[in-house]
Amino acid sequence: MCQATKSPADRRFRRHCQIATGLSLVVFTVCSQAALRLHGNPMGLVLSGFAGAAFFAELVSVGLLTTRLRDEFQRTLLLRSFVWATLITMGCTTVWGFIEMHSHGTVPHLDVIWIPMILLCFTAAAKLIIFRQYRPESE
Amino acid sequence: MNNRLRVLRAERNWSQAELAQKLEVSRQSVNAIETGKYDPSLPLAFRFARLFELPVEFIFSDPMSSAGTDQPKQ
Repeated sequence: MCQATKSPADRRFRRHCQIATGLSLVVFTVCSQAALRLHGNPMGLVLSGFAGAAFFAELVSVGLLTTRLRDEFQRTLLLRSFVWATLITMGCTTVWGFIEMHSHGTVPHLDVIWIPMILLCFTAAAKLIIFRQYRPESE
Repeated sequence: MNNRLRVLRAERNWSQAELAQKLEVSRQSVNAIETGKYDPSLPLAFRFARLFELPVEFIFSDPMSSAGTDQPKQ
């Protein structure tokens, strides 16, 4: 998605974060979908907890990436992407909430559990746009 | 902030990738600093200065300041 850093430590750390993101996404999707199907079952509650923990782990991984990345420019771009993604997600979900409130069931209901997925999608899009802006030209 | 990175790099025959490797940053960072799209922090500016063995103010200068530093002080 972005230009690889030359520092081996940064590259290794970034790879760990990508693995953590992939694992969190899989656990989150599987557990949240299973929990939705086990409505009223205590096992559903446990699976919901796992789904929440997976997303929490993803947020921790993002936090560690932004604080431990040695390359300050890459860190700035990452932070900019996360801030934009958070603002757009907050804006879109707030607007959708108001539309739902006044539409009396004419628009589909957005479950809160999808907000983390929306945030991840907007983060990926923001990273793509922001890192592309600073793509180095050939020497 | 103005900088003389391109000239200093050319004098040493270093590519952006080589400079990035010496500073342990990405080539994207070196390119952004060199083209003036990003101003480095003081610690990174000092790393540049250490690498080029020149004073920071010789590499980076304030565009608002009329008195530029043309030669490094010995």
